[in-house]
Amino acid sequence: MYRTDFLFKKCLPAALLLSSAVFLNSCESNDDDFNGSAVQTATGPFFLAVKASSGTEYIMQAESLEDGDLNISSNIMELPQTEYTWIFRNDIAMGMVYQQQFAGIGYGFRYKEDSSLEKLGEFMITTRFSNYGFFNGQLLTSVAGQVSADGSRNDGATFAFWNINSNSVTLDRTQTIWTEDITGNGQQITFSGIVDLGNGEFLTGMVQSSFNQTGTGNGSSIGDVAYPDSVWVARIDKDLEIKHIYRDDRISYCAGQYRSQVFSQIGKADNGSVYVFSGSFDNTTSNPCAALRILPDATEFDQDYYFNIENETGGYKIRRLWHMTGSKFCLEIYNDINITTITPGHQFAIVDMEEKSFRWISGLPGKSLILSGAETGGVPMFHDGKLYLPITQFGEDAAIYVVNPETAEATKGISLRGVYEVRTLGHLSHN
Amino acid sequence: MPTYRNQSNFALVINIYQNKEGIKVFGLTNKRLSGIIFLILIYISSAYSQRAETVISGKVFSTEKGIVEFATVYLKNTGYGSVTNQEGIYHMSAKPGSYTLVVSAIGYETAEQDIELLSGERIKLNVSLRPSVSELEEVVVTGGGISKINNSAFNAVAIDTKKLGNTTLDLAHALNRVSGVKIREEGGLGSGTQINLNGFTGRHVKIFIDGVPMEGSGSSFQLNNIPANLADRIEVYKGVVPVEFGGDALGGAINIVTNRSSNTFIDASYSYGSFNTHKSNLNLGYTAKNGFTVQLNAYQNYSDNDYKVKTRYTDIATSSVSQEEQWFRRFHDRYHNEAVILQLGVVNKPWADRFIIGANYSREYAQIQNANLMTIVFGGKYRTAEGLTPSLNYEKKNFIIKNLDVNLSAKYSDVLTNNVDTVAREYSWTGDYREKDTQGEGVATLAEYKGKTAYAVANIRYRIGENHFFAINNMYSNYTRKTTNSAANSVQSSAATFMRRRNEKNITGLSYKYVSEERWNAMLFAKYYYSDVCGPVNVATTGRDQYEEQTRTTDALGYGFAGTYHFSSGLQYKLSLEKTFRLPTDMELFGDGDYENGEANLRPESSRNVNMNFSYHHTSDDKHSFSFDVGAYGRYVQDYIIRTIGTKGVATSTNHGKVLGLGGDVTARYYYKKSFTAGANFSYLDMRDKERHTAIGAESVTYNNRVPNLPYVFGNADAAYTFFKVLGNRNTLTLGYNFMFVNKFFRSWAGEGAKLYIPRQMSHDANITYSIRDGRFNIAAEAVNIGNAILYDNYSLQKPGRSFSVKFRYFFFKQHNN
Repeated sequence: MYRTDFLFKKCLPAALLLSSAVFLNSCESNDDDFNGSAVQTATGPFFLAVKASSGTEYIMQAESLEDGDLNISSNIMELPQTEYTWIFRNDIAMGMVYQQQFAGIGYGFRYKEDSSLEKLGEFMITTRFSNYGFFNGQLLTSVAGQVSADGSRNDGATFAFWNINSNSVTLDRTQTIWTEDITGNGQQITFSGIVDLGNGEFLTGMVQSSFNQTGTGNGSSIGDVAYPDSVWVARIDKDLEIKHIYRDDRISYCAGQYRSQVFSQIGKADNGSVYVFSGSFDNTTSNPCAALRILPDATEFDQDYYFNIENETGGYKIRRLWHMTGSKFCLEIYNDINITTITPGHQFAIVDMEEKSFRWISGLPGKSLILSGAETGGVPMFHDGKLYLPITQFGEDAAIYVVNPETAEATKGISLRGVYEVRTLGHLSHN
Repeated sequence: MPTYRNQSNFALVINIYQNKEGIKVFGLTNKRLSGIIFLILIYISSAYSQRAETVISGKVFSTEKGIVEFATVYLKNTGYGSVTNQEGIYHMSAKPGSYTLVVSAIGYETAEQDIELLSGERIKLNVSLRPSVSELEEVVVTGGGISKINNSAFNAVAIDTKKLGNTTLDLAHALNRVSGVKIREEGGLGSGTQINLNGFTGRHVKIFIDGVPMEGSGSSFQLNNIPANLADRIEVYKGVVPVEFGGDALGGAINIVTNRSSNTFIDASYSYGSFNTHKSNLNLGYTAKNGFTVQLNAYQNYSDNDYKVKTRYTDIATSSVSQEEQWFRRFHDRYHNEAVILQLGVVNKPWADRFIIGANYSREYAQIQNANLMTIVFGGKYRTAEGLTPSLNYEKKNFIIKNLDVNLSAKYSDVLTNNVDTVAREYSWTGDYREKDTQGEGVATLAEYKGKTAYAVANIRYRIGENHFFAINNMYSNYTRKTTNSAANSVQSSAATFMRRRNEKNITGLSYKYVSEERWNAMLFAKYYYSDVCGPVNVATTGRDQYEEQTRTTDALGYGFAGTYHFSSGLQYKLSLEKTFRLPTDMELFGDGDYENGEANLRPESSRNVNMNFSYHHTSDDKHSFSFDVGAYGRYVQDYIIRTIGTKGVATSTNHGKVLGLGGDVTARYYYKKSFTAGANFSYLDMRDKERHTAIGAESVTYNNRVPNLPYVFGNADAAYTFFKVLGNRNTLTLGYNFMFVNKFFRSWAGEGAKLYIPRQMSHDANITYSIRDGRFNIAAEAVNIGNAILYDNYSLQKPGRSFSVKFRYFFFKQHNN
């Protein structure tokens, strides 16, 4: 009895004290490694928005993309959400995100003189977007298939105009236009692509469709297409007034699709000509994947210009495309001849639209070995006469391939240790 | 072809041999396992090899009813001791001499008796124990169930929720006080709640109510909205799960045991607290002399959840988010749920010990204040759910033949969930809003889902003599989910969204337990898992999507061992091992039938669990009582099912990843008479990625990293003091205090350079309870998070600050002797 009393009176308090000391000590041991905000561990003009294998997205900076290695752990910021879309202009990088059920928090960054990044502020994106671009000094986004406040119609296309200020990103305004009446076909319109004409107007591809895809409850905003053999492009002013509609029957509509995402297939060459591509995504069209042209100030498609790209690819269609320089574009081409909404595009080509020349990019891993870009990442960048193409190959870290636009030859550049996929790539400059 | 991988200290587990057809065969000849069992046997036998001639045996009874299992019987100041088995019988041998025989058990007063042992004699001595008298326990019989779980060979803890009757806790918060368990909440009352059990969470931890899985009950009947009063006790099985629970859980199981006593009682309470929170609860039970029994549980929770949060703020004119954080009161977070459970039947009939038909109706309404980042605020989104569950239970001991016990349960749940987002406004944290031209704060929706789940559980136990126990358990479940109306403009839905998904599972468990007449018992068990899953698959090869319903099956064989040894005077050692599985779900096998590919050849996730515990319980001179439990465990998980993007460009589920978890829980508790108790528990978990390559085969940067977004250092402490005879002989006043601690953890992997984290949390709660007339009338006041700490369980989602509540409770209990 005495012994147990001793146990309780002497040992128990000591044991409790000891265990609480261990307890508190273990709390102290792992204190603030990070403060959660941007920690500048790397600098440089190249901005990389990357996704880790875990799905978490980070921002990295690099001095050069030509060679060497960069570890994901040197990232400067962890993003709280995923599937960000980044766009760049001079010293500004803007990241936008919209998730399945709710708004996203967007980020603006400015590239400072000391080569570090400064946060311009965060902004709330409450309007989903499937289409975006710079227009009239602002960032413009749009989304189709919106339901009116009273629930009576669902052909709304909502545009959001964003101001990029010296210390913040602010929403200028949102505006919804009702699209069923635009062409008089009784169908809704999804806008795809924003080409700033520099005169207060922009060109955008229009996809006319019914509201739903047959056999589904409610499909993506592009439903069944009644006129798959025609293309429409609208010229719209800053008040979203439709100034002119271009139409042609030589190609199908000008937009790519992946899930509910819409890919821009329209781009402006340095000489002001606008090239309108069609990936012929809709399998009911009889038109091949090809491109037309709208010359500056023209009111109709250039009837003398037609570039059948499907002939050049051997039957493959275009998934996404990006303007490089002059009238050169980089094309992302589907892996298969027969495509569905989820077929990946892991073949790449460089076209000169003016010359109608086509060249496969060589020196890349085989199409069946590439994993990047299957969703919406893997966006390349043209900088200083070279194309920088992010590629993740099976069994390897993500890498950037450097492509000579003249020869279309690619060589492997920087490797990004621990990166699953480069989502977007940008070069920031101080001018 | 052996699939054994020699890379962990989990070599103790029996291995599976897999032939080419994928049929799994028991590999019982494994040398390591037999070695281990041999060692255990040697160890156990050496512990009592020094037999003397005198044998003493007997039965331990309770003065109120029946036998007392797991009572510790020992000779004072000697190493001689034993523990009663499930029949209340003990045996021990000792050298001749004069001794004091001590019999103690949790919930009973310790009995002592002087005995004289003569050489060669066999003594039979039965002992009666009186239930320990605490003011509340006079009316509530301390459950033998509690000590049965705590003394079993499993790494298991039982919480006596009856002691929580005067608190406003729900089941989830009651669980949060158990070592190794961490509840993570997204906000206030009714918010999303996740249970972490020794590092496992979500579908890796199975929750049961009276042995029947809770899955499929719908969000209106969940741990976070069921009052603790509904349960008699909560059993937490960490790691190894007994066969009675037919679940494919990797990380353990939680069983809520409701009041099954055939007594007459009334338990009625109402509480009111901060944030306009009202909770009421009515439990009625009546059993007639002829065996007719009826039990009614009804409860209600209501809260505005309008607690203050510190967040950045969006200017609705510019959509610009402020750099600084400000305090805002939540304005769209009202939650209420209501439930009624009615059970009717008969007890103590020749054909049934218990035959009960029941029905459970529950519904809820939840406003949604913010997205998974608190900065994103809503003012119109809400969710409703409604569920109806009829159920059936039949129990009979000595069914047809003696020693054959049968327990059958069945239930069917029909749950309707509705998500609504139709408001054409954009809100800010001030509650101000801007009108929009279009509907929906997010993507406009009126989506409605129907889930139907059927369960049938059969449990048969057979005993041969007093030593051999056999049990067979079969659990069948059938779950169907259908989207009935997506309405509005749910952008990503497709035909597949509207096709049914069915998930049928059958889990059969078999166990054999040997209960020694001395101080140990050991159990071997095996579980066979089978699932048959049916869902939509996109079979289009070109153009638009085309769907077809397909069926896929998976199976697996799990097995394990559990053993325990009771040293004399209160020290117990436990060891349990299991290889367990979690079968792939319909989503994993079929994807979403649309943009995500299924993988027909997915293997079940598997885990090898090892648990070791030492527990010590000691009572001295009727004043001090002390218990200490230390447990160490290991978990080696393989074939994690993860979502990844395959070469075809589509998200797909693959078996990838290995995780090794090593951890320990320590619990200590001290009682001084019936007046004072203090306890603390501390859990540490080291769970690390052991996969060297990523799912696409690149070298992983997270190898050996701690698994992120998982609390890994946490603990609780509590103390309570009761004053007796306060303003009346039968009145008591209890002061109580609780402390909670969780260390900081990161949201993503260290090797990636993760920066976002969930900060360290510490909070203090206090309560005071005044009980009148032995607990018949109770008034309790509670203060939660007294320090008004800013608490987060999940990144960005702030929990309530300081709150107060007061609870009134009436409790009447009449014991039946039939």
